[in-house]
Amino acid sequence: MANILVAHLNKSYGKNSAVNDLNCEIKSQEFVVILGPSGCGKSTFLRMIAGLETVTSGEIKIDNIIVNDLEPRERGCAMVFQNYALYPHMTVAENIGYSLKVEGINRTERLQRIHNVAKIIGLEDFLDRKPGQLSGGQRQRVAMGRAIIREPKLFLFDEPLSNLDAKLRVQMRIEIRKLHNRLNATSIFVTHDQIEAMTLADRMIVMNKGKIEQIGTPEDIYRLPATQFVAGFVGSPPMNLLKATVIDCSTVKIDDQLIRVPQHDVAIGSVVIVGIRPEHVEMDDNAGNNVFSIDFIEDMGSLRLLHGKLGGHDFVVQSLSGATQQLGQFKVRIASDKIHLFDVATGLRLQI
Amino acid sequence: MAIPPFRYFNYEFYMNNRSYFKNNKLAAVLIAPQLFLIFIFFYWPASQAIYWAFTTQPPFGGGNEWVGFQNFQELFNDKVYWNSVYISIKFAIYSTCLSVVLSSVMALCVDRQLSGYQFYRFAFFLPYAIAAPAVGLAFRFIFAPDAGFISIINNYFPGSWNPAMNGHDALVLIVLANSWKMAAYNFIFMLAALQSIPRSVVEAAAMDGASFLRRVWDIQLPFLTPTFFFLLVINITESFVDSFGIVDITTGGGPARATDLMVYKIYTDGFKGLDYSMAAAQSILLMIIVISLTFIQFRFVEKRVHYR
Amino acid sequence: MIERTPYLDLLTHAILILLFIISVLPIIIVFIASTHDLPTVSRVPMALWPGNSFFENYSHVWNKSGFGPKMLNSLIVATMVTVGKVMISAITAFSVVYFNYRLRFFFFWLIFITLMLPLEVRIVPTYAVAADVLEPFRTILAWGGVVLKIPEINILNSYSGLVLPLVATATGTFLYRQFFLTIPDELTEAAKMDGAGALRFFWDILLPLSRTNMAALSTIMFVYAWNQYLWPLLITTDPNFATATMQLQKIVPGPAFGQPPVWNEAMAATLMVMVPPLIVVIIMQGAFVRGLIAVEK
Repeated sequence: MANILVAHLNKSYGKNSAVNDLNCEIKSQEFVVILGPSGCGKSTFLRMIAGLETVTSGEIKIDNIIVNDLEPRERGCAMVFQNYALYPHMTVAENIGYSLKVEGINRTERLQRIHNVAKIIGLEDFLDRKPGQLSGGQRQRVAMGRAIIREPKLFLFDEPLSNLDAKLRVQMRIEIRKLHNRLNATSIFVTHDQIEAMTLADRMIVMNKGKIEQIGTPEDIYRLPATQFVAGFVGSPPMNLLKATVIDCSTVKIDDQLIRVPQHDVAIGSVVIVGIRPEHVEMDDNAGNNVFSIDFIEDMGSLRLLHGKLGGHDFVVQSLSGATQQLGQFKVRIASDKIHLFDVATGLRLQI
Repeated sequence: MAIPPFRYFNYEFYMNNRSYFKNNKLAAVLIAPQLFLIFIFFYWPASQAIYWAFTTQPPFGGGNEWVGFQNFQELFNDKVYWNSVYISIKFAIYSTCLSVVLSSVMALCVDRQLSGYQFYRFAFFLPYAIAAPAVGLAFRFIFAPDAGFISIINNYFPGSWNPAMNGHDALVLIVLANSWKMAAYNFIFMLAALQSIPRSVVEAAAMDGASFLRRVWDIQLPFLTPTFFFLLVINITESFVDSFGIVDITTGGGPARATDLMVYKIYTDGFKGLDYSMAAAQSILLMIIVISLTFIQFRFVEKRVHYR
Repeated sequence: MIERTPYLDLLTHAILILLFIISVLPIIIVFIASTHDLPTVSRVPMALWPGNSFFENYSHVWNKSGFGPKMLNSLIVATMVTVGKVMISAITAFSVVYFNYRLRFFFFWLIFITLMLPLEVRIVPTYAVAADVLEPFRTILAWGGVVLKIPEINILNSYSGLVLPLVATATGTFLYRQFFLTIPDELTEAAKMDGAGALRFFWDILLPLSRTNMAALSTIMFVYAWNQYLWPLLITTDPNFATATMQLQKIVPGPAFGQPPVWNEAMAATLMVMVPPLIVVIIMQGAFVRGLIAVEK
């Protein structure tokens, strides 16, 4: 399939910069997810790869060919849009086969290929319907069928699951990944949902405000977030991020609470951001070193989220369901080797 | 559908970051026919009219002579011209008032959605589909001094109704004909405006205890105001311009120029009288009036709407 | 909503019936008048029930007064205007919405301004142009000192003369433009990704989606073109090219002087002129109303 090389990519609309100095490499047959909040530039990035947006500066190479000035159809990509973008007046079969019609492929071959694709997406019985007569999930599958039939080098997905209900979303993301595996495709998938990103990606590109914050496997990004933003964005429930003052090379202080942290070399007295994931805190009224006051409990069935304050700051602890948990002040034990430290000014991870 | 419907200039047009096709040569080819047509049949004639208005044509051919504002001065000194202006204004005011009032009543009644309202709604907009001269001829028959129906009055009060002789009667005739047709047009817009008032607002007023008439006054009429102004301008413009068909068929501008509307006079001066310069000068003045009206509609009416 | 307003309802019904009669009565009277013979129709008041001379009157008008061919002309002209308008407006709007070139804004304005001045206000010079269509170019070239022998094309007394000036205004373009602006961008992008070029997109996707618009525009254009009076009057002196609507003038001798019109025949002619647009509007009511409203936006 295709490998993509992006070098110093910039896009600005007049004075406003949408994406800034993007660099990355996507290997053939990888499933890469671009993750980020709304307005971070991820869609713009995808659309530049597709050829739907012009590039202000920088280079995009697909299979070592610079594609900056190529039209979308010349790039060998297929795209699945957020709102499906199905042609409302055409049947499912016509929608899927449209690109072949444009190419000039004769009718018999077209019908054959449409039929094959319809089998893959499970819509053989719906070929004569119009998009208006289909459900959201079915429309999504038609959109995918339209992309698949072109046997493209590269699949591009622009938040395709955002308009589906929660249950369908889970189902469809599994189908998308399975499809990718089956077709040995290279895929780039854009989303703001970090769970989708974590479950689908071979590698993730996390973006914020037009810049790439981190590129890595889901595991790396989860375990070793490179910036404060990534730390707070990836993971559900989100990581607790608190301002703390450095006491010595392995202790910080949040209000009146002292917390053991991994070794570091930040100057004493300076302020750092401390990151602690809710699942790395244990309720331990006996051996706990820190005090946590719970004021709200969310019971999710298998887990509990305990909301409260640690050292005067909002804090969340995740615990397994079990004995009833009361509100009030309790002692907790924080796994100090799992704590992350970030520079308060740059947000970058402080290396130990 | 937005209320009210009105012509406005879409500023977001060029700020819209839409998906474009790259073939600008094709774009040029596509737009060329329309541009060609409007150049030949709009811009050139319009500029010619300006040219002729400021020149005179010598009677035996040859080039035009520049005379500045002389043609206009002649016009302004011409009683006959002022008569046509005066008549046109009267006509505009009378027929606009009549048709707007009629159509408002029609719209309000139909909007109540009593049984059979679809039938009325259908009938009410039919008159607009009929050509102006056909309307004129129909009304000329009905209101003829010696045929039709209205002349029955002459049996009781001899000589009281005669549009062929009495200028005032003639004006009444064309006002009625024009209003009949325009009421249908206005009705369509009024009804659309009424129907786009969210039902919930009307229902809330009903819950607040407002009776139908109260609701009409407090809620529906204010909602209608922009459409109302819009129609006012459109009606006035149409009465300056579209009335030709009615006048030519019914009264021919008479009797004694009692219905000599500006547009009719341009026709008679230009094509019967062959005085192109004067016809052009009059056309310019009429154009100015029409453009000002359209302008007023943009500025004034649009502002009134935007506060919503 | 439940509202007990019996008196108001009664009043509303009464008003509606009255207005209904006012709306429809003239048409009915025209019909009835056209079915009487001359003496009956000239009586005051005219009898309110149909007479017996229906076929007589109509065949008389159709043949002797030559209304038949005129109706055909009207049909041809109205159809040509409608088709021409629908097509030209579509491609013009397409050019203005889906391409990005610097003069786009300027051209849009240029087309927009033509809405401000209806034909009646510029009849004299438009007639002059129709007499010699390429005159503008000749004159402009002459300003530049170039004297080219550009042929004189005269479209008076022809279908092009009747049709082209009516197709030259901007109404349809606005309708399409507005509609095109509501089509989601993603559809265009999907088509691009599918490999469609501009014309393909226009033909395969934009036009099919515009069907309701086209119906609305066609309806109002047909009615508008059929009902044209002043322009056909000016531009055709040859009876072979006269249209039905303008022919009404010939049916009626001079209003102020001379004989009163032969009313039953005049009414028959009037009815014939009225009927086709009425039929079109009756069949396509929804499109007609939609078209009028959208055009004024």
